[in-house]
Amino acid sequence: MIDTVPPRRHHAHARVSLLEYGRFQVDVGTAEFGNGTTTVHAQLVATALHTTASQVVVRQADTDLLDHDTGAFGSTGTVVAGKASLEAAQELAHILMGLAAGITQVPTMRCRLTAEGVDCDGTFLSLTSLFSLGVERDIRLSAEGSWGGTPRSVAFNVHGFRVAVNLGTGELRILQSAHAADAGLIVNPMQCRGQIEGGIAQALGAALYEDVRIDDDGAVSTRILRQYHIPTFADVPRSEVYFASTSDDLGPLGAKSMSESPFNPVAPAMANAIKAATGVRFTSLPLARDTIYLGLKAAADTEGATRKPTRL
Amino acid sequence: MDLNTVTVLRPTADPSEWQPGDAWLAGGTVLFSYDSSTLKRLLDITHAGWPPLTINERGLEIAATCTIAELYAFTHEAWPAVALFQQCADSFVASFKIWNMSTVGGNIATALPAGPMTSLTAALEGTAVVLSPDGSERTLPVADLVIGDGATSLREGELLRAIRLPAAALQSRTAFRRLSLSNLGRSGVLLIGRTTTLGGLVITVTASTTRPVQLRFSSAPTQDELAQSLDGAIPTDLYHNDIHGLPQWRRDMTYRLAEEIRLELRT
Amino acid sequence: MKININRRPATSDPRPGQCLRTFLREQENLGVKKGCDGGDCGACTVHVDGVPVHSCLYPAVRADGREVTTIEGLADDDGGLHSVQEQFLAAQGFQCGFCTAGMIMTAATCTEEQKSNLPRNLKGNLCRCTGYRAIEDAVCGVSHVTSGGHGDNVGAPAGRGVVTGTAAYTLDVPADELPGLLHLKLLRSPHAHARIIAIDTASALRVPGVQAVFTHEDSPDKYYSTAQHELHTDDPDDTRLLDDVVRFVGQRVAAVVADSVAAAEAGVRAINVEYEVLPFVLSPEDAMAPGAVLLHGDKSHASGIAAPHRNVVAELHSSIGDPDGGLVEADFVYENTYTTQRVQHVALETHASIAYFEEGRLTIRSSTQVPFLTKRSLCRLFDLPPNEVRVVAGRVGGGFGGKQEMLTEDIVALAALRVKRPVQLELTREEQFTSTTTRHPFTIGVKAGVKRDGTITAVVLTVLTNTGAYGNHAPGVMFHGCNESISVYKCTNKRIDAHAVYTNTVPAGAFRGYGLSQMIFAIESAIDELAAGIGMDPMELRRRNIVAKGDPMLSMHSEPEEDVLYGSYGLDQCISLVQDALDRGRSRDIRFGAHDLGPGWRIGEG
Repeated sequence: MIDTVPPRRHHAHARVSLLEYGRFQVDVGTAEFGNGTTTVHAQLVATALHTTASQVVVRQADTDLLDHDTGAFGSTGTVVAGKASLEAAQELAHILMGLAAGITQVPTMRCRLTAEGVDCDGTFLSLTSLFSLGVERDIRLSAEGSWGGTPRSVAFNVHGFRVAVNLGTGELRILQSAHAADAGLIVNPMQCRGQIEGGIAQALGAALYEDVRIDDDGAVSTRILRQYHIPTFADVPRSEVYFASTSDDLGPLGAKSMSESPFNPVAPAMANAIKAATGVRFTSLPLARDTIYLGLKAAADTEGATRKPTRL
Repeated sequence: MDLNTVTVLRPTADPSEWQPGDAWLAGGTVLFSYDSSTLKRLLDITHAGWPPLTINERGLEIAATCTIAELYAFTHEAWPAVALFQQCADSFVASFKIWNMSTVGGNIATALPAGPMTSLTAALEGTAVVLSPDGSERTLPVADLVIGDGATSLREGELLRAIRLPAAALQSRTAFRRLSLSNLGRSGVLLIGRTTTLGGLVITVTASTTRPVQLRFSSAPTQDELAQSLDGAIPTDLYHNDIHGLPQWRRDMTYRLAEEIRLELRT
Repeated sequence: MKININRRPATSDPRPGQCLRTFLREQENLGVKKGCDGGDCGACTVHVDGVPVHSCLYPAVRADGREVTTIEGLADDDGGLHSVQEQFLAAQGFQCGFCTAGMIMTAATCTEEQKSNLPRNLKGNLCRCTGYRAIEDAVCGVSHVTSGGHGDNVGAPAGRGVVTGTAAYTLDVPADELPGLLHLKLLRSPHAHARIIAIDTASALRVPGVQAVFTHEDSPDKYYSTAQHELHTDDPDDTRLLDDVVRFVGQRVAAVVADSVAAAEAGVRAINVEYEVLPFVLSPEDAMAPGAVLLHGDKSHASGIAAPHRNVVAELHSSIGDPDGGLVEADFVYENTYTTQRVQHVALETHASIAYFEEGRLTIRSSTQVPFLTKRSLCRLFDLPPNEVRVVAGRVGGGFGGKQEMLTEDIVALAALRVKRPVQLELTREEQFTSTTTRHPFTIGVKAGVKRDGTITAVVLTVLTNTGAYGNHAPGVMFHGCNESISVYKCTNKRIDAHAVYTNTVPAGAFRGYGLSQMIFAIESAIDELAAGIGMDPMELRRRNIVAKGDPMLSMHSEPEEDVLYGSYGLDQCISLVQDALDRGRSRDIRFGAHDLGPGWRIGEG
């Protein structure tokens, strides 16, 4: 389990604007580092503006764009920043419909925003013409949104392994890897699956071999990637990824965070599977083959030693 | 990475040109993988034009500049031990892309315990041909060239020219065993066994020990004989200790794989 | 020399010790990436006469007379994409995309036979984001992308830039946009703990190309934290930009700014430092022992350090319900100590930043997860008004929490403000390991009780975290780790005693999971042992004890946090989904005879 937002406030601001030629621009503070939030912003904004993500241009991670953004950490890219851009987009939708309603003198409730423009009870105003009208009348076709990161929800992850352990060498084979996540209503299943698979892979590295070692003088002795093995293609099994079907009352359009948390259950699931296979509880990470072998050997020796008196 | 202290790259394979601050450059995959604060010149031996693989009546001569890719592609029907070439190349933690550049000589001269070209050529009784700055040439077994983790018996300015593998060894039956802490990762233990023409057995231990260790039996050993021989040949502190395997694991796996090789080559 | 790059002649010759990677980047092929610079990660893969090589290892002069192809030249000149680029786009075979150019350049040379053994043939290409499934799909031509909005598999807007090598990461700035760019290199401490008596920079300043050298005497006399949070008071102010005391091997001692990386390196080698070597402490247990050498004993409580005189950055002592009574009430009590190790983020793009001036305003382009917080921190550190600093991030090549820190921006800002020229710092992979941050190692004592009916009666935790030489993120990681890891269990008898402790080692910092992975390793291992102790299926034990929607989520306080709500609840579903998947997998294996791997193998689930 993980809170969907860190405590002690997390702020995001966003601005969504109509561009010439009918595309939208969203300015957000969060950086894109592979977490996929750029796509999420585009999708949330597109949904609120009844268009497709390809019509949305995202600008980001520049202190000149907006007042403030706490940043892309604590798995907040979708939940916090996404809420801000969704709010901004929803507000812009109201502005566009209001403008169209004013021009056509059709009540707003009979106006409908579409991907091309606003349909005012049969009279159609395209986004391009709305842009020009906005310029003419000096109306900013732009809206801002923000969110302060509270109240927060909780997301859940469960991981399961079936493993085989070779008692003679310590070799570990992952026969099955299954992960279930409760990320609410998922904005982009492909990307969310990628976040989970990546979290599992990184966690497998930490569970099985990654170790920054410090020598007796205090210096890091694992200084290059040949001395610090991170998972390669050969090391990572294909995981089955499942999503719980929930929709969050607090997150943007029902979504919850899903970035850090897939990492967390992997190592204990692995240790528990090894215990189930071998009867030996390993209490230290990483669980490399040499450690497993020597742990099994020590356990067998202890067992042998404690059994001896009964044999005599 | 850039070797920013290097000011000269000179094509030569003449040891008499060697001076302090020089390094022999073959594939470059080791030299360029570490930064340097002392190197001044790189002496590029790849321009020497040495034929990578030469078959003669004595066996096979592998030029120091033979790339791993060239070695991997080599086949010879009369020499069953050539199967080891691919097995050892596949033991590199480095990918096939590195094989296009890195060389047999470079891997041996780097003298890592897990250097698979050391494993291969030591196991096949390879003799290293070494050129000295004074113009002389000397030969010594590969198993004696690599003397520790990153240490060789090469003297300053000496250049590894070639490895000669005798035909007798290439004709022998071999068994290959390897363990790593990760899938396709760096070898923690690598053992190669081969039969001799007189019914004997040679087992070469690498990766688990800081230098190659060879066990020679004039006839097929028993399990106990093999274990005793390992006891005598490898003192505890010779087992390598680094991130790729704890010494106690390497030790037990050495015994285990040696026994597997003994059984495989028994008949 | 005649080197062709992407069918055009290179405009200059490489230096004798130059690798092909940096030469190609100097020739404006910025799609060629540095992940390790040592041949391990494959991000710099290019083709030389059609053969794939790691350009960081390839002596550039050897490209003389050859045709080099980079990601920018992989496709024909007609503006279309190579089929492998199309496939990576269709499968979205990337996340941060920093490894993608190398992946594509490698995959583009793979024969069908090589594609059938990707574990072997892609082992020279590391990806830290995807877990490789998406890459496998890309290489094998599986397509996932659809268009649309919410709930659809929309491809990343930057996708085309990523697969063509044109997406601009931090240092992918053409040289003509940064005229007069200088390079910064750092002298780092060889000692775990030492006081700097004297630094002689005279010979460094005489090195041709060296423009300036900075030491602790140039550093603002201010303490701050490299950690970045909404409230800067969340982290202790224990770090100086350049300090006269070094507290770990690898800490910054001095910075050299020069016309080239080579000159800066030569400048670093020419600095002479006289140290007074001090005693050091490497383990948190030793650091808390009476009489231990103090790392920040000179600092007051106002610095935000809980107990500078005990090397304790932060501590937590909480008890809710009746833990002792719960243990007495239990039918089975389990007790053990768990430890977790230091782990590095290994984001493929190393930390890097460029400081430059835009119409006189200091601008920092950085590989950061937190541009706005970094701007605030720089303003505080250098006493600059907010309108005089801008921080921007390009596309960032992976973060994982490692870039929720200010590790390069402060020093390039100092240098640029002083020399009034653009200054760039790019950390090496080795510096990432020795001198940035890691996950906090934890030692966790667990004592927990359970009744025969499967009711967990008490959880008692003793936690010791090793924050290294500085306390960046130490309080947050400790508190967060001890929270959701146990509030997910509805047992109301819980006690926690936790300390985050300084040692003379590389600092720990923020890392994906933020303390939870360490605690969950201990707690979920213990849950299985509790189940074993009463002979119950471990998942059944969990079902009986996890919070249900509406249950208070309690860890350190007897009242739940006011603003944490069940916006939705799917933990029960998650447990069933995994259990059902394992059941199906087990039956499959048994049916196909894959369950028996032979003698010597034991199979288990967890």
